[in-house]
Amino acid sequence: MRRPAARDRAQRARRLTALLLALAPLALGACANIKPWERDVLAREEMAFDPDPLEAARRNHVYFSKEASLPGGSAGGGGCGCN
Amino acid sequence: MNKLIVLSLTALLIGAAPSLALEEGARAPSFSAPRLDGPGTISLSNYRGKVVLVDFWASWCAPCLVSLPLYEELRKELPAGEFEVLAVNLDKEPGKALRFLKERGVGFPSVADPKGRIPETFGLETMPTSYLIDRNGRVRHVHTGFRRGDIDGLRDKAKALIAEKAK
Amino acid sequence: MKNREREKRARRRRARRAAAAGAGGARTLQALATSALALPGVASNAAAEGTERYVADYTYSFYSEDDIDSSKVSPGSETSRYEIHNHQFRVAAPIAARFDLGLDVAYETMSGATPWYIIPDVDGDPVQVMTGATIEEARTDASLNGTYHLETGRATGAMGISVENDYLAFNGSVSGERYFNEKNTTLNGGGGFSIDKIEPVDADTDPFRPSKENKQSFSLFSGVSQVLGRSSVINSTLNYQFSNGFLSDPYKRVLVEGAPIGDSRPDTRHQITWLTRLRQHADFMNGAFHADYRFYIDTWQINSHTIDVAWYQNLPWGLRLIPSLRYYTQSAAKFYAPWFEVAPSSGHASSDYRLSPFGALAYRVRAESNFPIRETNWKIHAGYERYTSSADLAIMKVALENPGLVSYNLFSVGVTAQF
Repeated sequence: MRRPAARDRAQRARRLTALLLALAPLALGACANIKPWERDVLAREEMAFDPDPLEAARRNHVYFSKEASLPGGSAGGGGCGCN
Repeated sequence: MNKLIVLSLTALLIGAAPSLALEEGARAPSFSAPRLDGPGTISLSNYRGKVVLVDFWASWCAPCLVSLPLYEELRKELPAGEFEVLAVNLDKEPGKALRFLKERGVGFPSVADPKGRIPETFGLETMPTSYLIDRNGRVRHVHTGFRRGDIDGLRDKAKALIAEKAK
Repeated sequence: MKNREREKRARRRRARRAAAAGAGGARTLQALATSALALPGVASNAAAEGTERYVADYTYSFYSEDDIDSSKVSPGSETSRYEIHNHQFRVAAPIAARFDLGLDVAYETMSGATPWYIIPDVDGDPVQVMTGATIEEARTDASLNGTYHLETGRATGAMGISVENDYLAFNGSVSGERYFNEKNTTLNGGGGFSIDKIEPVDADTDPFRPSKENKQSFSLFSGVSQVLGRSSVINSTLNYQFSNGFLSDPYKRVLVEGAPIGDSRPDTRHQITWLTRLRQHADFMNGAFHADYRFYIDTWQINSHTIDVAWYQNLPWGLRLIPSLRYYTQSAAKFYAPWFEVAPSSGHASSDYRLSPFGALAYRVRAESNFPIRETNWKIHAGYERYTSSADLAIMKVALENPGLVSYNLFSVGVTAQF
C-alpha cells in the first residue's frame, strides 16, 4: 500500500515542477511590463546592481581573502535598457 | 514531463515576440503634441513633403544625449528645406530636457510627450529609437539604439531619401 | 598531574622553536586568492551597462588590520598584522559600431605579519603563532574585456592575468545576456576558468613548503533579472565553481600531535553561491535601497550566509551619501580545528581562521560628489569601512574561537570621469 502512494507523490511533484518551469517565463512576464520610455528611475545610477564596479570588485576581493565564500553575482538587466 | 521542459526552454529562447513595432514601408502614425521649448503645438503632418527624422529621447537616456548634438550637425549639413529633425521628448518632467537642449544649442524642434502616447503608437521597443520618414510620410528606416558611429549610416540614408521626389 | 604539566611545557618549547624558525618570510592569503578580476562574474560587471561614453576611473584604498590582541598570541610572536595599499584603474570605451572594450588594472603593495599556526597556551586555550613581519610585496592584476551588443542581448569575453613574486595566474571568461518581455526580463549565463601557478618563497628552507604547485578552477553561472515596477528590480544568480590541484596554503601550518606540519587541504572543491539582489527606489525620499542576500555551500562542508544592505541618499548639489551594513556568518571546514591531538584519518588538516566558524559585521559609509565640467561628468568619492569578526557573531554556537580572526579599517578615495 505504501510504495504506490509514494511513487504517485513523487510523480506529481515532478509534474508540478515541470509545469512551474514551463510557466515561469510567462509568470515573469506578468510581473510588470515597464515600457522602454518609463525607465527613468531604473536608469538612475543608484539603481544599478553595481553602481561602482571598482568598489564592488575591491570589496569582493577583500572579503574573498578573509572568508571562505565565493563572491557570486554578475548581474545584467535593470537600468535604462538603452541601446 | 521532458517535453514540457523542452517546450518551456524553447519559449524562453525565442522570447516575447514584438507586438506592434512599425515596419519599414508602413505609414508613420500621425501625431501632434505641445512644443517642449515654447508655446504651440507641432504635428508630424506639418512636415509632409520633407524628409523627417523623428527621434524619441529622454534626459535619462545616455545614448540619447550623445545622439542629439550629432543630429543637430546633420541637420545643419543637409539642405534646410528638404530635411528636418523632430524630437519627441519622453521625460516625465520636461525641466531637465529643456536644460539639456539649451546647453547644447540644439536648434531642431522638440515636443513633449510625458505620458508616452506617441511611442506607444510607434511600437517603440528601445530607447532611443529614431524613424526616418520620407516625403510621403512613410517610415523608411527604424534606427534602434544609438552609438557614435551611427550618424554616418543615417546621413547616407537621409541623403538617399532627399534625392527621391515626393509623389 | 606532573606528567601532563611536563608534556604541556615540552609542547610549548617545541612550538616556540618552530616559531623562531619561521621568523623569516611570511605571506598573505592574497597571494593565493584568485584576484577578484579573475572571477568570471566581475569582468562582465565592468561592462554592465554598455559604454556610450569614454570612462576613466581610479580608486586608491588603504587597508589596515587591527593588531592581534596580545592575549591571543603566543609569547614572543608579532602582534601587528597586515597592511595593503591598493590602486585600481579602469578605462572603457565604445570602439566600434557594436563593440565596447575595457581595461582593468590593479596594483597593490602589502606588508605585515600573518597567522601561521595555532598552539594551546598554559590553560589549553588556542593562541596564534604569527609569522615574522614581511618586507613589502606587490601584486599586479590586469584584465581586458570586450562586449558585443545585439538587439536582443549582448556577449562579453574577458581575459586576465595576475602576477606576484611567488604567484602567476591566467583567467578567461565568456558570458551572454538575453532580453525578454521588452527588456523587463534578462537572462544571463556564462563560464570561466583560472589556472594558477604558485612557487612559494623560502621553499628550500621550509620542509613543509612545496617548491612549485598549481591549481585550476572552472566556473559556470546563470542568473535572471526582473524589473518589478518602475522603481524596482531584482536579480538572482547561481554560481558553481570546481577547483582542483593544490588548494592548501603553503605559508600556513597546523599543529598535529604536538608538531606544526604543513597545512593540508583536499585537492578538489565544489562550490555553489546563490546571490539575490534587490534595488528599490524611494521617490519621495530621493534615495534607493539595496538589499543583497548570498547563500554559499561547498564540499568542504562550509556554508555561509551574507546579508548586505545599503541606502543611497541623493542630496543637493550632486552629492550622495551611502551608509551600508554587511553581516556574514560561516561554518567550519570539515578538516578544520585549532589543532589536532590525533592525526586526522583523512590526512587533511588546517587551522586557518578563514576555514573556522565565525561571524563578521562590517559597516561602511561612502560620500560622492558628481559635477560636470563642460561636457565631462566628474565624480569624486571617499569611503570608510570597519570590519570585525568573532565567534560570537556567528549564528551557531562556536566552541573555540580561532584566535587569528581579523578586524580591519579600510579607507578609500577615487575619481571617475565620463566623457
